[in-house]
Amino acid sequence: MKILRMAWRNLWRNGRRTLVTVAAMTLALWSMVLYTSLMEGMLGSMETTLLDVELGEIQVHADGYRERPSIWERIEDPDALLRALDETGLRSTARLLGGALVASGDVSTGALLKGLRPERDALVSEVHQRLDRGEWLDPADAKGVVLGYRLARTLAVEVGDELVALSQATDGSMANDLFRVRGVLQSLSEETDRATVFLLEDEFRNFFALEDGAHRVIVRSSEGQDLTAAAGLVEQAAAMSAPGVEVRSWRDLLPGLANVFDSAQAAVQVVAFVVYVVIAILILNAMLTAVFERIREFGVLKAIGVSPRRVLALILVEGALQSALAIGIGLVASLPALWFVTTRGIDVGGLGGTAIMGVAMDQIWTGAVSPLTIAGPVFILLFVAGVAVLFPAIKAARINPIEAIHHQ
Amino acid sequence: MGAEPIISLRDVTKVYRQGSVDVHALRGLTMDVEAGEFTAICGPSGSGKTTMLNLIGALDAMTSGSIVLEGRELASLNKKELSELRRDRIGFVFQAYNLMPVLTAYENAEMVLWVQGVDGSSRRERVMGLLEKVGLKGMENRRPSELSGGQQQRVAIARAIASNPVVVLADEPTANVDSETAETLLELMEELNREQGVTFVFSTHDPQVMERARRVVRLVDGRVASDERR
Amino acid sequence: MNRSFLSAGFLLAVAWLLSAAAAAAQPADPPLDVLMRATDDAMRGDSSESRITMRIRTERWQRELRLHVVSEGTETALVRIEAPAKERGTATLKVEQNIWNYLPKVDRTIKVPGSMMQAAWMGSHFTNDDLVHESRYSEDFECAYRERPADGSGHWLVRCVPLPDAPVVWGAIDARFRAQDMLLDQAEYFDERDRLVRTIRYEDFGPLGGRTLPRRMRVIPADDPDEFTEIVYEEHAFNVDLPAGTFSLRSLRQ
Repeated sequence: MKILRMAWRNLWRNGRRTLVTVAAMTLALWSMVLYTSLMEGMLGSMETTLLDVELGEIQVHADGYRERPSIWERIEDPDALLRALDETGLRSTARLLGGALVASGDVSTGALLKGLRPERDALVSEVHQRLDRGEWLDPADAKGVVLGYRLARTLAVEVGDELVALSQATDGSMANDLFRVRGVLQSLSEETDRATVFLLEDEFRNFFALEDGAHRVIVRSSEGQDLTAAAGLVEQAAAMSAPGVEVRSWRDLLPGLANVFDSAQAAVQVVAFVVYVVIAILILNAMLTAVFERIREFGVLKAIGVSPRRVLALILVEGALQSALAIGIGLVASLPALWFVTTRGIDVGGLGGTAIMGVAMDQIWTGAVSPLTIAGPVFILLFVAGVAVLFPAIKAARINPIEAIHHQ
Repeated sequence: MGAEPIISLRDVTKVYRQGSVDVHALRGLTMDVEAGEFTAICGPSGSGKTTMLNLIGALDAMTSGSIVLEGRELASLNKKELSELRRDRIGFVFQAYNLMPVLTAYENAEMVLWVQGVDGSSRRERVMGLLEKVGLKGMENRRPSELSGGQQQRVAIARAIASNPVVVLADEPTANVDSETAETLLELMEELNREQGVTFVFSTHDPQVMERARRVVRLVDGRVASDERR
Repeated sequence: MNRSFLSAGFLLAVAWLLSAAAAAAQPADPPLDVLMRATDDAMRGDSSESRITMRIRTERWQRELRLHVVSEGTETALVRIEAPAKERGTATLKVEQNIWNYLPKVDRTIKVPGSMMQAAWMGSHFTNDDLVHESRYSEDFECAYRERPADGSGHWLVRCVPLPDAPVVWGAIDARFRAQDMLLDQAEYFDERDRLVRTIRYEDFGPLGGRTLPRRMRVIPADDPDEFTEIVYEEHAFNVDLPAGTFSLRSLRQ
């Protein structure tokens, strides 16, 4: 109690220095909380887009499909695989993929047709929730298709417009059919935005004269499940039901993007490291100065029998008080900022649709708040302040009273 | 006076190493201090006054010889024991900068009792009495910066005797105050010595102070040159 | 110059070449410029009309199409599928470098974009590009004799390398001529790295549209010798009268 009082009063002997130190710590904490929130938000939304909408955690293809995608490289009995996956409790869906020329009016361009069963696909992919306009596929509307927004722009089509698709069917004839745009997607990824047309599985099969098989099975792991473990389960399920397939996690499929995630995390850490090193130096400097200014006092304290441990505690408490102040102010100050970035977000639409490694960022960059967003920076600040204050504290505790008392 | 000395120094030497030169601060000093004594240590600069007080106060270690305080040989005690000895058995009054600037007169005076772990109400009773005794009644809540030099030394004296030490060691306690203040400080110390039996050992080169001492030990070149009681 | 079915065929009058060749026991080299120009012009007419059976065999499918082809010069052609019934009416119009497909099922005409030029035409071993790029030995290539026949039953082999600026996708073509009549009976197409890409064989020489021409042509891709696309001329006529507007988008839809 007494130590606390002494420490608190000591802080205000040089109020300006204390304020500068606390302000710097506060600012560091505030910015790190905000920065962490924004980075978590960005990575979270990218990961959501990537996994929930595009990839799934795990994909199954026929051997060789990924090296040379072709309508012929199919998983022969996808339904057997899906049933086996159902038994493992993992959510899964099958998709059919085939290249085609899509045209509207005089404009035509290449696109990837993706055939799916909406009710099954919805278990796995949130793509049906990511419409910019129009509606998602519906079995009642056989010729309705949904396409990426850039593809729609290229073809100059809107919801309700007709679309011709052209390709080579598996019987060698010219596959051709007339579809109607039912929906246009939000910006999701380079591939989806520019060149993807979603259609019903049955329509896909008619179009390509493809009776059986599927090109891709998408599998979602459960919440918190280890990716490798989930992939192992899929491998097992596939070994029984679908020989000759290849199971890959999204990290294998997009190692570049996995690296981006990892290095973004590393970037957060590097920035945090730099900020905290600066803060550590500041605290160290402030506390060292404070200790050297008071060397005689510590000498007297030790001379009259105050134990080194108490002297140490005094300095540590001074550091702790400043940290507590900084944390208090920093957290209070970060609340409105966090509220802003999580509810309003930062409009990055002006950047013209930002994508990182082909994965689209949302137009509005919003932050995410998890316990870690706040606890992380707080604990690191405490740790850094503790380390920075420990050296001056030990120095004060070890002072030789005679030398200290005669110190000029 | 008392038969048994509370402090006894035997053939104490202290050698400092200053650069490449050995400085012999004490060269075989022998003396005793008995309970209730009011002793002035005097002598020219460099005669070893401060060194002697530091050694008795367990702030520094002698080079050879023996110092026994209340029957305990200081050389045999470890750091922690020495720290506790200082806390419980010795009172210190320094030349200047004695007090914690952030604490009030009251808080400074209770400091030693607090580190001894004496409970709050006992502390209060004792310290309020002491502050009244040293003439600072009503100034308990002033910070050192709001007190004169003499008043600060009174607080320091109150702190030094608060824990009923065996001896109060004072290194030039009047060096930083004017002669009038020195006079009243000395009166206070005398009074405490007389009425409460506090043993004082203080260094000084102030003739005025020496006159009041009942025992004057003169040091020259780290040895006792004369020791007169009156 | 892909001797495609739009322009396949051959050489009208190289009689004097033949006699020169026959006169010598060891035949002298016929003048190459004359030979190549004659080869280029063999299929030429102001216009032509033919009915063709196209047989396609690939690893994946086997199919047979009956086609009606009309052309004018080398720049314009219209091909219409007459059979099988499922694809009947599907038509391709070529005008200069452009290709349109008409799809009766959806009643739409689609212009084939540049990115699709290397795609197969109707599942055959011809690409859309083959329809468009009509190069000429005598203008786009530098040709030289490579092998000479030992006797009258042998072959002349001519290696033709494209001129630097010629719009040709091949690295080289080896054209093989029968010594007996100096008719082209095989062309091997190589890529820039001199790997064989495909072979076209000209067979069943006989009267066609009043000329002596190969009435059957077979394209064999080098990477899969079991596959082929075969064209058989059922009927062929040169210099026919075509009504105005034959090569229009409107007539494509018909």
